[in-house]
Amino acid sequence: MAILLVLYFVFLIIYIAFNVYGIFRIWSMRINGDQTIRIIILYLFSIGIIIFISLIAIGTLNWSSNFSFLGIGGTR
Amino acid sequence: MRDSRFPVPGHEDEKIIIFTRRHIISMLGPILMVLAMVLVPILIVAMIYSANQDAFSGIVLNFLVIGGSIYYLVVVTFAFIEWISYYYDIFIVTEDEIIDISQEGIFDRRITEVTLLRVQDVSAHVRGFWATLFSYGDVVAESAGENTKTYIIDSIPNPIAVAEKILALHNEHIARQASAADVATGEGELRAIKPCPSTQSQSEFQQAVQKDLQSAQGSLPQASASAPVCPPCPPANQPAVPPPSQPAIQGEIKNNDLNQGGEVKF
Repeated sequence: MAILLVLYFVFLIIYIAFNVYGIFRIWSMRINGDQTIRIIILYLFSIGIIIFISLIAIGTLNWSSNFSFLGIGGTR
Repeated sequence: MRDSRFPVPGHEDEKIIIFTRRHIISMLGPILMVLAMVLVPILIVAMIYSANQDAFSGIVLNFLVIGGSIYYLVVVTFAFIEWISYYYDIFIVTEDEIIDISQEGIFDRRITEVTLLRVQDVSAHVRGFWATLFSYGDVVAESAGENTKTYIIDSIPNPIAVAEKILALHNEHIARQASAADVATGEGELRAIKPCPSTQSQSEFQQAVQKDLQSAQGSLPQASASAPVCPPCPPANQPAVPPPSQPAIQGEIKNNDLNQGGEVKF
């Protein structure tokens, strides 16, 4: 099951890189008196909440088992 | 990095007459979709859990946590991109141009500019019950010339008022251009007549011309009424007042020869 965690963290790294670049692009498009900064803060806050809850849930689960139920090999 | 600026580089000094986005009601579809994307999986999981409380135990729960986390991160990003597509999809009318900024996601941005002089026809379309109720619709502008193009600005509020305003600005722009052309013609006429040294020095005459041109930019008829008139110059070895038999300078003045003081054809 550890591979699932590895894939998840790889996804998180790519996701964060994508968002950093996207926010950089949006920042360069900003116009006078816009609401972009509030929306970006709200967006980052939402992402933070989801990742935080996910990490807490991941910490409570057992990741030492394997994929035996899929027939890949090993025992649970 | 600059914090904020005019949406289109190179137009910072232009006066904005109309600045609008799509009507907020056009965001109803994406808002409902995001709500469904958030709520439907929760409802499905709740229904399965209520039917079988052992359904999410063991490794299934691990998959559910990882999958749910990735899913909701994607949903949040989707909502953010939809908002960006709405918020930066802008329609601007300045004193000189129509600027349509079309934003599709974060990485697709198209800016279309057309001068008000090239606008030939502007129409407004309000179609359907909801569009009539919330007073939004499309504005269609067609450009003149060989390469006729049609510009469609979707779902903006008060499209009829916007179309009328664009036409009014178009007419004002044409009037300004005609006024500027008249001023240029007047400048050519004034330069074609050289000042008479015996009655008025050349520098005084040039100052009078400059003053007249400045006032003419504001109001052409007023400038024409107060335009300084210098009598035709006599030859240096002759008296200031020409004999009655000598013809005055007349003829056509070409506008494109203004820098040479105008060309006079007999």
